[in-house]
Amino acid sequence: MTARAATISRSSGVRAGKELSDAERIRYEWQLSIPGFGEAGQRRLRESTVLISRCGGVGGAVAYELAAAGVGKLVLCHAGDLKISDLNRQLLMTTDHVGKPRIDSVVWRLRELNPDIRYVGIGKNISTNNAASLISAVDLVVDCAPLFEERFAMNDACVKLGVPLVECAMYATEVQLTVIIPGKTPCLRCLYPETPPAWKRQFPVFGAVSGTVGCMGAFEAIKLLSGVGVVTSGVMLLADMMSMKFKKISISRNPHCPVCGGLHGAQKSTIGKSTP
Amino acid sequence: MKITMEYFAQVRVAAEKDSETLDVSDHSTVHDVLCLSAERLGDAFRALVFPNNSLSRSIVVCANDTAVYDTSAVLQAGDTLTILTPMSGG
Repeated sequence: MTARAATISRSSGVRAGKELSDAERIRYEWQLSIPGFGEAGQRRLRESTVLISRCGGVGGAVAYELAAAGVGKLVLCHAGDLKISDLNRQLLMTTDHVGKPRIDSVVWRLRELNPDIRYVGIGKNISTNNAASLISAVDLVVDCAPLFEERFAMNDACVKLGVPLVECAMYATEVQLTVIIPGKTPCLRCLYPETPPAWKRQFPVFGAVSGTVGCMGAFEAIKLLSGVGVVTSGVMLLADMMSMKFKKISISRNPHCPVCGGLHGAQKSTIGKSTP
Repeated sequence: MKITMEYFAQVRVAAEKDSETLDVSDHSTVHDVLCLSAERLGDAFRALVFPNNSLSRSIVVCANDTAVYDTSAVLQAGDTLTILTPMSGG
């Protein structure tokens, strides 16, 4: 269990910090009146640290919404230089930045939106080499990565460290969303034990689809951190934007899962109320 | 008996439809129906669901909106079987 993860309470999110300043009350005025959220919820967001990997079509939307909402510190992972074909969905990038490091554009655009947040830009993707060290210093991870090797690295480290993980995924006009609470809900390996052989790095998608699941994932993070609402855990939301058909499926832990099968009951860091 | 099939993600593209109603034998199992679908829906669908002629570990199958891990489970008339493949971010 890490120092960061241990700060999270199951019933009420992250520990609330000091009183809001007048400037914070003005900036977040429109959300402070949300029933059940209020100044205590805002203070919990400000005390929170979230890791987002990567920050493209999905993760860029997550990062933008969490910066706007006032999450105190964002750790942002994204390797490589911007390509023109990224721009149908990666909204934290700009055309004049093509050929330059994506992570620089991410941090720049977020800082323009909300300079009061602490941003840590890392020009690398998550791997088994860096997952544990990065995740041990955050309260929550949002997985927006395209490759299953990265996703499994995040999942395995989150389960080991007891850090909740928001899983955002997309394909063509469809999205999938679920929240993994280690020891309580199925982990990614319970659902997909191995890298899907038919999965390809490049797949069809609209930016409006990646942005939709990114915004939904961001709100799952807000609920988890602030302790409000019902978290999408133990279920997976499926949605097809073409037909606007939405449904939830119940998912359960695999007792033989090589990653979480040995965990019993909820970990100290589990937070939020699960979907019934 | 009649059951409803739903397809999501790559299997939906391979099936070229998002849902259909099938007439299957009484006491059919989940595995029986997956095999029947693979026979009906062609090579692209079969390659996703039965790569190397065995059921893929990377698909999630749900009966009446609940994931089932034991494909020997017997279906009943009116059941809905949902098949989905993994997606990711990007």
